[in-house]
Order: sequence, then C-alpha cells, then structure tokens
Amino acid sequence: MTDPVVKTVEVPCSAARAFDVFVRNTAKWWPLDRHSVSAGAGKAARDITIDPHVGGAIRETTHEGNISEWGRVLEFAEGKAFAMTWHPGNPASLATHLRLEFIQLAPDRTRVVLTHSGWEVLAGDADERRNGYNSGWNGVLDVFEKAAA
Amino acid sequence: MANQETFHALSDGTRRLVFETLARHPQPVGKLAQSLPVTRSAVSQHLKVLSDAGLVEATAQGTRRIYAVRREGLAELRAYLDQLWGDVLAEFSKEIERESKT
Repeated sequence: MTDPVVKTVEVPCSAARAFDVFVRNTAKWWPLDRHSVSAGAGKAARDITIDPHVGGAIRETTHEGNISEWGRVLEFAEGKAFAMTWHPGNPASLATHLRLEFIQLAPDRTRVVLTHSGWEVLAGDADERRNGYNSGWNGVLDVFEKAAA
Repeated sequence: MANQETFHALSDGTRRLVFETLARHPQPVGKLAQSLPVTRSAVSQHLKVLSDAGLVEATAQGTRRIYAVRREGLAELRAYLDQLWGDVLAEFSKEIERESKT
C-alpha cells in the first residue's frame, strides 16, 4: 500500500530539452491553480522557482506574495535526473521524496519517469522513530500497515 | 495542496500520538485522555482534525463513541497523489507539444 507512486509520460523532444522545461520553466506549465499551497485557498500561485543546484530550494510565490518552500533539491543531473524533498504546505519533517528521470529514446523522444516515494525511505530512520513524539509520517504509515494487515 | 489536510492532520506530534494510540486500540475520548499527557478537550480537538481528514472514525457503542483508525484514509491519499502527478505530467507534456509545434 505504501509503494511509491510512479507515473510515466513520453514527450516529443530531447532529454535535455525536457529537463530544461521541467526545472527552469516550471511556472509556465505547472497547474498553479490546482496544485499549490495557494490552491488550498482557492487561488492560483504566482510563481514556482527551482534553484538549479543540489541543496537549492523549490519555492512557491503564493497569491498573496508570500514565499512557501516546497522542498530542497537532492539531485540535479542536467538532462538526466532531478530529485527533491517534497513537503508543500508542511514542515520539512513531513517531507516525502520526488524524483524525475529523463530517458532519451530518440533524438526527439524522451520518456519521463516520475517517482513519488518517501514513506518507506523515511521509515528506515531508526533515530527518529525511537524518539516517540517525532516518529514522523512514517511511524504513521507503519501503524497503517499494521492496522490493515 | 488539496489533500494537505491529511498531511496537516499528522503534522502535529500529539495528534500523531493520538492516531497511533487508536491504531493499537480503538477507544473512547475519556480513555485516550487518561493515557496521554493532554486534556480531554485537547484530545477531542485532535480527534476532530483527524476525523475531518478521514483518518479516524467513530462508532457508537451504547452511549459511548469509540474512535478507531480508518484504513481507507491512506488509500485515498495515495489515489490523490496518483491523480496529482498524472495531472502535472499531462500539463508538462502539453507544454512540450506546444513548443515543438512552434
């Protein structure tokens, strides 16, 4: 039940181009009115930016002009892969993990594989789990698994 | 995000403790309050947030309401994420197609 969510799409361009559009022109195509912190208030976000390096921030400029951090860049391999922690609207302690892989099939054909995981990754964090109150999202998922078993 | 509620409901340490306690043993508010370091009214408020997020549900047993974890909660969250990423990738794909036509 806690398997990662995996989605694939094929686009008619090179991997370099697909990567570029995804990380550098994000605000141009991202459904800002449906998937943003602003969307929670029924509004469209003004902008989304990704700092193009590991450790960089992914930030939404909300409809009110505030900055809301969605996560941090974990991997930035130009034309190949992009990964980040994912916690829009939540503290970083509840971050899950998002990764995109760009696989060029032909000069004008690229497969993009999106994997949203994190619960099982974080579940391995023994220190956090020992610390009862800070068992985090994954302690919760463990509980769910047991309840469903 | 639309399903922020689920994440939000579990973003509070005490609330998670309430949730995890219920997962082990379904029980009424009073009993929960006895075993946790918070007041009964605080437990009630946490239960409301968890119920609104679809993570716990109450069933009547005589005059008492017994709270328990709602298993469908996680499946719904996963379905939401599935839809979210399908939507995002569809928009991304449309953008590339728009560009390649020009």
